[in-house]
Amino acid sequence: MEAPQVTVMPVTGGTINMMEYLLQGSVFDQALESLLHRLRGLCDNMEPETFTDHELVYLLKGQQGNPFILRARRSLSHPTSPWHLRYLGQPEVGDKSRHALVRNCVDVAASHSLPEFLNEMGFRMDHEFVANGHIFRKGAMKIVVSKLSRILVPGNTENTERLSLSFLVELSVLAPAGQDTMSEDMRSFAEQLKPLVHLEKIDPSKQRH
Amino acid sequence: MVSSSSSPGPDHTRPEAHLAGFAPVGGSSERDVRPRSCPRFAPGCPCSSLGLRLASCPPAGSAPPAASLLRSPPLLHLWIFSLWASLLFDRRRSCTIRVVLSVCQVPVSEGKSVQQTVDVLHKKLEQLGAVKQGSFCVDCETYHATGNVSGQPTKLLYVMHNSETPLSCMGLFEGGPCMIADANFDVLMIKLKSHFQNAKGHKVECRGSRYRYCDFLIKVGTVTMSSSARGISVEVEYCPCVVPGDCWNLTKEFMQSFLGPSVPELPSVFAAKPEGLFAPSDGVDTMTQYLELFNKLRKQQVPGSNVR
Repeated sequence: MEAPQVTVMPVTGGTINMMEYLLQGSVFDQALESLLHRLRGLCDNMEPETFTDHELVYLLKGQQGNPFILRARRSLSHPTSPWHLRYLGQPEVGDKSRHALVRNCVDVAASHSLPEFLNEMGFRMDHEFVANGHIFRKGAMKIVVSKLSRILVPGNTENTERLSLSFLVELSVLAPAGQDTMSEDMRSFAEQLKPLVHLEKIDPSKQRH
Repeated sequence: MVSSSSSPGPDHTRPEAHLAGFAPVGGSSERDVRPRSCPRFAPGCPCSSLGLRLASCPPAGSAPPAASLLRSPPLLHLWIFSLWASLLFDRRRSCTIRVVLSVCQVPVSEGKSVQQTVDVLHKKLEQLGAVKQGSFCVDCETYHATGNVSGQPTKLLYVMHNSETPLSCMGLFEGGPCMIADANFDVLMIKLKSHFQNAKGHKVECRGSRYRYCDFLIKVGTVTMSSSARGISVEVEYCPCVVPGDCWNLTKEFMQSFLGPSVPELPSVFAAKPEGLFAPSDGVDTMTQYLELFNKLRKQQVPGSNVR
């Protein structure tokens, strides 16, 4: 019952600015098994992890400018795990020859009162979906192959409808700002997945209409 | 003797039966008497180690009549200890059982400064036999929501940190929902600065020393705002128990031994719960008490408050 001496004062910000490097692509359902087979060969030697997640996207409309977007994600296969709150910044407009999309990323683990807390802060849920699929790892790189499903009745994750006949493939790395060699490593890994899937840099701001 | 054939109470032959508040079969010595208000009668229990019989303990040699136990509601039999992670993200603390019973404000003694009053409390604790175990810090930052519709009161978001759980922080709305998050929540609040402004002048800190006395953890802190001392806080935890109703009497008597007449009533945060005093307590209750204290001290004008 001896409490350890307190030597660490509370951490109050000042953490390293983390950036997400991202490449995306998709495969038709029929090609999924071939892709998983190739990823099992290329990635770290472990059984790929399957997941079923429920993601809610919240918007906070300010007096001016674009709304502030936060993504809250929870695991449906591990209901007692904490929620994962993620902020993604605008893509960096820099070197056009950079191979991957680079944007600021803040990840926060949160307790189960997160949705009520966000509502009290003024956030309103814009949309929600269920994602299920596989996760692979190769070093610092994470490859997620997922099927997205629309939720038909708000809050009911049992009643879903597939959004498309394909799987979303995302190759991402989380690294401190300034490590541009990451995008080179990602590009050479993406080359090994061709022609099964073409992973490329897709700017989300250009997708809006 | 308790017959277990038809009683709804615990089986006295099971190991945990000794916690149920009644004498085991064949036991008749004073040592076998389990005081009803003491959840644990053991060498480490302050009932025995304080060298005095607390007023809440029944007289020596008496045991609660078995018949009344059979009739009493099941809750009175639940003197059980549960290992419970009070906060999700501090793995090194996940096996600590704790409840913070009381965070209270101690008035500054007549003719003495804040520091002198704190020194008097430290001396009393050391005379009692408490051992100093480092220091602690609890702080609270206030954020104003900027996007409020005119006419509505400004919403205040409090972000608090506690050195007992250095990897976590807590977001609270007074009287509203609260959330426990990891340290990156502070970084997120920086990103939200156009929607939530940090009222830097309103930051309140409570710093001081930690003392351990048997199963009690006592923290005596000086509450400061903008470098001026606003008051003194005392936090007392009875570590083996998570249910306030089971150990409030014990903790109150312990506090009287060094605080004298300044002992507060049961914190309102426990009484306000739907299950009342018998709901398990957690870190949120602790921080809610600190927030109430900080808000109270923020509104007070303390004369001579520039003395640290």
